[in-house]
Amino acid sequence: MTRQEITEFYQQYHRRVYNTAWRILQNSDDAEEVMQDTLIKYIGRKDPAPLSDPQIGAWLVRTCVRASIDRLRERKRRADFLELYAVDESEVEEEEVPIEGVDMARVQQALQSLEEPYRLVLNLVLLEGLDYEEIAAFTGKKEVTLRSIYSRGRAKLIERLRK
Amino acid sequence: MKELEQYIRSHASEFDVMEPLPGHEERFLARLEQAQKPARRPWRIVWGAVAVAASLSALLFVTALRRSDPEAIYLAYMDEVSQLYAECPADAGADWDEALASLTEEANPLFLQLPEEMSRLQKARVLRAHYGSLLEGAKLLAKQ
Repeated sequence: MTRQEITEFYQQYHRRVYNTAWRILQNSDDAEEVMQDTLIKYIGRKDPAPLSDPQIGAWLVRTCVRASIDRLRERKRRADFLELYAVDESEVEEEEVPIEGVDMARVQQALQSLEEPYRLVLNLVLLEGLDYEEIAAFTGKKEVTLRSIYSRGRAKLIERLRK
Repeated sequence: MKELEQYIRSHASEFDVMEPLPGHEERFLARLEQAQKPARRPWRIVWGAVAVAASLSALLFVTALRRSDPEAIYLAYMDEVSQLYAECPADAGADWDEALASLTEEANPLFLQLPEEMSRLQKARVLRAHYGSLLEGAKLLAKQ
């Protein structure tokens, strides 16, 4: 990549990658470092096959999520990752929240106010578009556990949006 | 809830509201530049190479000592000193370097100062004794 191409690449993707990292890490310094690592890794990738914009986006998000979770793990290496907030396996009853009157800022605030691991799992499923199989690979947790965390987190999200 | 989930998914990009701290692009470019510099060889390989080179150098030195060639003795000595620097632990500090330099470096090498009247054999004897002694001290220092 030329200097110009790198600058354009950075401007196109940095915000997306930074936000993905920030949502997981909740810390601007860590998020910036993970963003830099991710973008530099892409620039230095050996695979010569050109990728389309959506493919680049998907590659960056997955690499960023993996790096962010690794960093989160590092932070919590003394605690058992995700088990810290053990949840039961029971599914939570489906509830509907009327979309009318729900604004984006409120959803954003409610989502980011969730405790871990709910925030992490809901972010990965809803905003990063990852499936449970991928999240299981990143976190080392069983898919059934992740589904349960998701269900509980979803219930908490509804509760906060109703307040 | 399905409706809410769908709503969030379809507006995912609007959740990207955070911006890195000012100066982020400059910091990124500086980091990229650093990352693109040629990587140093892994220590394991370097130490392996040093060990092999040290063995070869020692062999050359011994071979040079056996020969009566003043120049070969001096060059073999210099190789040995270079190896001692290469083997210096990364955390040894400047004092170690200075001590080794004081012990081994010659502003005006003896090799060039010996009287021309001396035969090659005589020169070789003097140089062997002199540089052998310096190396013995330097190797003792390296073991500390």
